Amino acid sequence: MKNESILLISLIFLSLLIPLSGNKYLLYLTLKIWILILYAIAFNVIFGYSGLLSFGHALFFSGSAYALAILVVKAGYSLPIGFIAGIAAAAVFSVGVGFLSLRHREIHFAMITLAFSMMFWGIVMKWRDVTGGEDGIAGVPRGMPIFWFYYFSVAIILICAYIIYSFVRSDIGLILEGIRENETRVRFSGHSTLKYRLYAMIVSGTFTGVAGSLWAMLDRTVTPSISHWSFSAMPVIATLIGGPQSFLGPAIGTVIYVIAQDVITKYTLYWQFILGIVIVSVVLFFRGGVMGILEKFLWKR
Amino acid sequence: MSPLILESQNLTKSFTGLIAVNNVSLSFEPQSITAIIGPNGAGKTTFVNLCTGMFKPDSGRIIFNGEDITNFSPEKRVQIGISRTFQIINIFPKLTVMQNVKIPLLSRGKIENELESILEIFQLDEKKDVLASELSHGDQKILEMAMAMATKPKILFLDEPMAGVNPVERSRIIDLIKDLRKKEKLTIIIVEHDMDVVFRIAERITVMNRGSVIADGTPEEIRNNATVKEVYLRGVEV
Repeated sequence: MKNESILLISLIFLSLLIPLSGNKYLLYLTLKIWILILYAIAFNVIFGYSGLLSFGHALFFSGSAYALAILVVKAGYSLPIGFIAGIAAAAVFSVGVGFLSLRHREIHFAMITLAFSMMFWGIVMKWRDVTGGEDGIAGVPRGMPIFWFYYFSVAIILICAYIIYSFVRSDIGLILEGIRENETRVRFSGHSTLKYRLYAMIVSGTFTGVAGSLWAMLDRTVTPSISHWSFSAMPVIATLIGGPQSFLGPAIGTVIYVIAQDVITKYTLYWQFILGIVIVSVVLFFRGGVMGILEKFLWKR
Repeated sequence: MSPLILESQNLTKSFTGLIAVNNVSLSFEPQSITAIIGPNGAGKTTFVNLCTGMFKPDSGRIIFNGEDITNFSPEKRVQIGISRTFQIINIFPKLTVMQNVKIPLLSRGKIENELESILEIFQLDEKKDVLASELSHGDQKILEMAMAMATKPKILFLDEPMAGVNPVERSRIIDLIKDLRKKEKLTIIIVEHDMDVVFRIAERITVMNRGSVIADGTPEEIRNNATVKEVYLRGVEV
């Protein structure tokens, strides 16, 4: 735990220096990573901690981003209201999807969540009057210069990460781990497992929504690409790389994922090919991901 | 109010043509210890599964403290006071001993000091931070009983608590069961193959064969029952 904390604090500190460099591209890329880290950590509440593979988290991410963009750009509401409404939209979506999907397990759960997110993608693409169709919605304000927006976002993300951390370490988090390990035993311990799954889904979906709203403000544009299924796959892949059994695993996986994508695309168009090799080897040989490797070989806990 | 704590009325359950439990009507008095014995496939575990909500019966009813609980979910039954252990160890292997006990405790709200006392009663306090998977087989059996007791049941089903347990741990478990029953005013229903254990613990023995109850009575009556000797105790010295 000590090693993790030192690594974590130094990384956070380093990233706080980035806006001072004046390099806009670097600033944009780092903040993008921060937002995707929150996305992956929130996703992992359902995946790593509850043992349910959601393949539809893009619904919560883009649902929140679109709610913000529509309210602020199209309906003229103020940005704070849009921001809160975006998060609220993600919460509502997670309750709805949760109720309809959480009775199912494994591949069925994955397919149902995928189906809901693709339905939303379909709506986004077709309902042009509201969503702008393929063009999306441009002109989302940030409310402040990007320099300050960076610090604002990082602060929000750290607070959210802390809340998620407290949640998975709470008694509810323990029961969720129990459900992941042995659901029957949890039921025979007197708990309605559906209720706890729903809690996990709401926490996961709502904080995914925070990430989505920040993303809309960072990009200043909302496009259907963030509701596409491949955007749901992103946290899955990042979490597998980083390690789903550890709180920081998804974060590390996200950093690797985004940097790899950014670096590799400079040399070859086939970055996904290389990523594929990485994922296959992680899943086949290192189930615990990068965090698992670190724990096994370096920290020897 | 009926004086019975649990009653099964004409319970029947079949699996793909095989009748596992056939029209079983049994009743249990509060604070009694009943052993259910019978050869493999007699329907003992299925009977326990029906009473605790693992399966729904094809027909028949289960009455607990005068209330029809036939359609209650397992968690609801635990909440009203029906708890159990499992024939094949059923714990959270990757969680610590303490976490294993905490999960059932949490179903009754926040009870920090009770956690300590349960760990103590079951002599697991020194091993509380050990992963459950690293416990000995006997300790895992004891952990399961601790988990079952953490829900503060009124009636406890023990499904082969001695299976695979060595003689020393066996005596420890027998003492635990007797102790718990006295202190907690528990009703205990135990499914067990070890006749020595059964005759040491039970006040009443129910014998099942092929899904039906073939004998029911005090240990003395069962010992002398001709049918029981015929189907079950054949060749076994009791």
